[in-house]
Amino acid sequence: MASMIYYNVDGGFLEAIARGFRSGILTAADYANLQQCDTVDDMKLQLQGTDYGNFLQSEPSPISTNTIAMKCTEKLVEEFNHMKVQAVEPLATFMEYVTYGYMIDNLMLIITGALHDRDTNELMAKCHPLGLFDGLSAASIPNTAKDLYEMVLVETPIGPYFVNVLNLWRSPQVGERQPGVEDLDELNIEIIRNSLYKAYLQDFYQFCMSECGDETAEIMGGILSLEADRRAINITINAFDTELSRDDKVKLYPTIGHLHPEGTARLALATDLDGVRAALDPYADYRNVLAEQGLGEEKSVENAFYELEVALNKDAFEQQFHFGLFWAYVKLREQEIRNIVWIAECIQQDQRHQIAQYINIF
Amino acid sequence: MGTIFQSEKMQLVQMIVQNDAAHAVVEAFGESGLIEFRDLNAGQPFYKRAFTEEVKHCEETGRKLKALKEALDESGVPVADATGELISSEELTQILDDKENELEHMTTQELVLLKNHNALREQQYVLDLGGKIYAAQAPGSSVSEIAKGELEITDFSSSTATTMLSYIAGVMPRMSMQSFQRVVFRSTRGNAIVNSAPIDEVLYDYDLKTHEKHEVEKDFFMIFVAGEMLKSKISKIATYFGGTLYAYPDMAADKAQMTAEVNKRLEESAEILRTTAEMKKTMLVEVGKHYGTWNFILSKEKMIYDTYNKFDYDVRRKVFVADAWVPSKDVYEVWRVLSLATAKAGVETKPVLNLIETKATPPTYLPINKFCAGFQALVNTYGTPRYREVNAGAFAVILFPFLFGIMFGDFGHGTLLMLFGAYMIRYEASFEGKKLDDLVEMCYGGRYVIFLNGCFGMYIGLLYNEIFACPMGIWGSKFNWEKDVMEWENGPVIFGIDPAWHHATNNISFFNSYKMKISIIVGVLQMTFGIFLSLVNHLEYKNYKKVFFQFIPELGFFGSIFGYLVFLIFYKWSINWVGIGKPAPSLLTTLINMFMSPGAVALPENDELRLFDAQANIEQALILVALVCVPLLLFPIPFLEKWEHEAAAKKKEAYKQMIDEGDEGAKEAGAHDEDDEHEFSFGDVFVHQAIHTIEFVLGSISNTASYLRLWALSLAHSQLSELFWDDIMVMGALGVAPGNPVMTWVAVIMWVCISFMVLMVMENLSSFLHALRLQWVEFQGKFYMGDGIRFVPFDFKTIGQDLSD
Repeated sequence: MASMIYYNVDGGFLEAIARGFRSGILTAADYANLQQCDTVDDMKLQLQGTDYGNFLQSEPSPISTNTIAMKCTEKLVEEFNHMKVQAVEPLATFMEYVTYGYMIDNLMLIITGALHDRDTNELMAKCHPLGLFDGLSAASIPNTAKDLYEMVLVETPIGPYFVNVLNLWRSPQVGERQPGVEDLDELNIEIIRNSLYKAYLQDFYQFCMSECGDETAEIMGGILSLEADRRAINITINAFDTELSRDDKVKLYPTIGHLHPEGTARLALATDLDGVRAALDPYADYRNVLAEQGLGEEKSVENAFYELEVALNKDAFEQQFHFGLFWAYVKLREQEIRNIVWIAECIQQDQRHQIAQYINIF
Repeated sequence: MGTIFQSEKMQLVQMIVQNDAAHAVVEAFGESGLIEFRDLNAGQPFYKRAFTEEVKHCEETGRKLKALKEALDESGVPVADATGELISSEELTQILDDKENELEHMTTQELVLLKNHNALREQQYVLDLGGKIYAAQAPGSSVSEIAKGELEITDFSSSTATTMLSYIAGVMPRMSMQSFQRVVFRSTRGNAIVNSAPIDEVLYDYDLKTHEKHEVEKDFFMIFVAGEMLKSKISKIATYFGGTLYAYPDMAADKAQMTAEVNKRLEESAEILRTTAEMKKTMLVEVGKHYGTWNFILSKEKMIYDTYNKFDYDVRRKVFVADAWVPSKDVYEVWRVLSLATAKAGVETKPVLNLIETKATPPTYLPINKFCAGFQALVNTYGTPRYREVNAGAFAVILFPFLFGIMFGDFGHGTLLMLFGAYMIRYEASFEGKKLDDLVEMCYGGRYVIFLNGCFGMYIGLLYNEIFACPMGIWGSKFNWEKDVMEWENGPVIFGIDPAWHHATNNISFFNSYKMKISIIVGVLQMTFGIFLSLVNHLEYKNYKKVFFQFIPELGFFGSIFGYLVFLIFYKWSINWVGIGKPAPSLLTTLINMFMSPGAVALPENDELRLFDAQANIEQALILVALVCVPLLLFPIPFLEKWEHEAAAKKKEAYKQMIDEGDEGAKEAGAHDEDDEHEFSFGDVFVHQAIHTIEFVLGSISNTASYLRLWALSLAHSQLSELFWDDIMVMGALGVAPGNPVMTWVAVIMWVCISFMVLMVMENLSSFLHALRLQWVEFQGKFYMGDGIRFVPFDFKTIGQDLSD
């Protein structure tokens, strides 16, 4: 109730802007037109008729899909920052939280790249612009998790989450690994990524529940639960045939979401895809996610989750007086960029039979 | 016949021309600017059309041209206008390709040189600033400056021997300096000494890929650490933070040598830079000379291809078909242009030009000169006139300034406004074709509107006899001050209002009554005129049922109530009520009584309310007329339309039967006819007519009342100017300290400023707005449809003015 009275004082203007941006999201008709294009350059013309406007005007043809993705992301970032700089607390903090996920991804990108001796500047160019933070590039120097924390992460927003990661190693029972062995190898990076995400999601969830009002709690609760469940399922699937033990997995599962605690407990026991299916069976939403896919078609699991996510994010716009729509807007735009890139790739590589596999938004 | 009153008659023509002549024909029409091509591929997306590739090619070339333009703007090279120079588009593409490559090459080269130069500058700073810090930090710093030269060797040995202390020097963007220092501190666990010093000069970051150049404020830093491991780690960190490392020699001799070397190379690089910049400038100046021409040719080419995309192509016969709207009077001219162009292109087959009968609505083409353009723009904002409809813009030319003048009636203010308009008209040449800012642009576009507004303000000001709120005694006054009476033996003053009224104690009630009545008279006349204009429209569209059942009832209703009111006003003015010793009856009461108790004025007890003898009978008759007119307006038209529709349907039925027996070809023709027919619904038509009736009947009352804004605004204007005159000018100059020159000056300046801001700006705008509303709603509402489509001829002259509508 209170939010109905006061929300518009601080949030009304930005909500209006976000809704305005939302109406610029491509519709089914736009996608139908995009699919008709013969070349990526035609897509440029087609996109000119949408809210994207002349964003590709000064690019020499032929245009690569990378350029399109980059320019689209640029536009999203510009819009997001436009809203972020005008946001008032607690929305400002909420929008900061939105960027933390990208920070984690970027950090992981840099660390993994450093592990494979890739050029850091090249990697920096691939980072998502929403998740850039001071010292990100220096993350490629340290060799151990502790160094990483002490040198780079301690003063970044995701630093506190990293403490959880360090705690993982402090307890001697983790796997067969020796305590204190914290080299940044492939498996450890995955563990770091997932525990960072776990800490992030839980913190964000907590923030939404306590600081942002009932409506935000309701909407974001649903969205973050899905996010947490997706991670839990992914961890389970990716942990097949690795040395990660059951207890390790349990440690990585987020403690929020619909699956927690019964579902995750059952997931932890699963050792193959059938086990996961059995574990997910009681959950109507997720039952179909793994229904007919083999392990090889991981892409489709991903798509199934994207579809669930899009549906939830769309619903966020049906309600007023909450912050969820800012999150939803960013995610929907991201999905849209994925769609555009997918269509562009299909056109460029002449894989037209797969072109329809994008996820329609509006 | 096309005039300002009515749009030009248009003819749809179809051209069939051989493909080879296409370019010549389209170009010729672009030069002549006579016709508007119809899009024969409407509904087909752009990229599916025949000439998409060519248009895209033009756009690509345009992008190159734009890049050149950016370079021109950046270096401040002037851009020449288009000359008549002729280059084919292929040549142009080639030239632009070359120029772009050349420019790209030069820019890259320049950037490499600049980057190098910048690096040298940074090295210089490192040497310079490093000297101070090194002297303060490095071992042996306690040795005094003078003794330093001798102790070089000791220095060296001590530094290697003591702690293996090594150092790193470089520059780093000031933005990342802070976090860099913290990361260094954390990664070495505090075992590093970081020294930094700001560099005052603005240095640059160059991106060779994107050709971008950023100004960056940078800091010099010098870090002392122990051990090679840490040194390499810090070097890595420094590069990740965007820093650049530079050499700093240990020994003073090396350092002096290096400084000299750097200085020498700096000089060299500055010299090379200058030559490169000159070369680039020379090249850009050359480009600048041609830019206008190239831009024109390119835009022209793009327009031609865009036009191609509207054509229909017959691949087998190698001809294209184009439909176009042409003003009927120019059909012959079009034929001439067409045959000349095909002849010039050397095509043997003669082109075909068909005149096509069509039901499609032709575009509205009004020949407008620059005088009418401003007024027409006001009307077009409401709606472009329907094809062949009476153009409201023609009447706006005088009626709009007239309404404005009634509200802005002051000779002085009018003169100022007129002079402002006249100034812009006089110096048209210096405004024309330039990029003006919004406000100036608006004033310039409406310069003739402003000029006429000013003129009418002057005229009405003379009638009101007011100049800056003061009366003018040009024709003298008939008021006799001594006897305190008006002396009208020789008639009233010959023009305008007697100046004596301005000093009368009852001047407000006099002016109110006068202006109110004038407003009603002007309003009723203008609206009646509007109703007559609707007659012209009905006749033009040959809609005779609307003449009898819309125009006549409207006129009857309006005339019998408001026409009568105007008559009463004049009648009341013409009687000397004091002379006949009777109180003047209120017109408002008269009009109300006419409806509330018709005929009651004839009663003896209402003697005082009666204006003239036959009043009761005339009023009863007029009410009857008005009442009859309402159903006459409401009912006949829907029923007539229904009847017409049924008749047409019957006819069609008969026709269909005939075709069914006849051949297939006729069937096609019949089917074609049905395209424009839409469902007839009696309910819709009736509701529509009912709305129109209600709107007209209620509107006639509210619209007449709406004209009272003329009085209100005029009153506000004269009262405000009088207030400013009396309370600022007169009070300031004479009231507080009579004859004090300083006070007088202050008063004059205040009066001028306030008069300008409030009267010349605010009042001016509000009068404009209200005049516009009266023009749009009250006047145009009576006859104007305003749902036409503007005729946009295909004309190369529009190149370069795409932005302005």
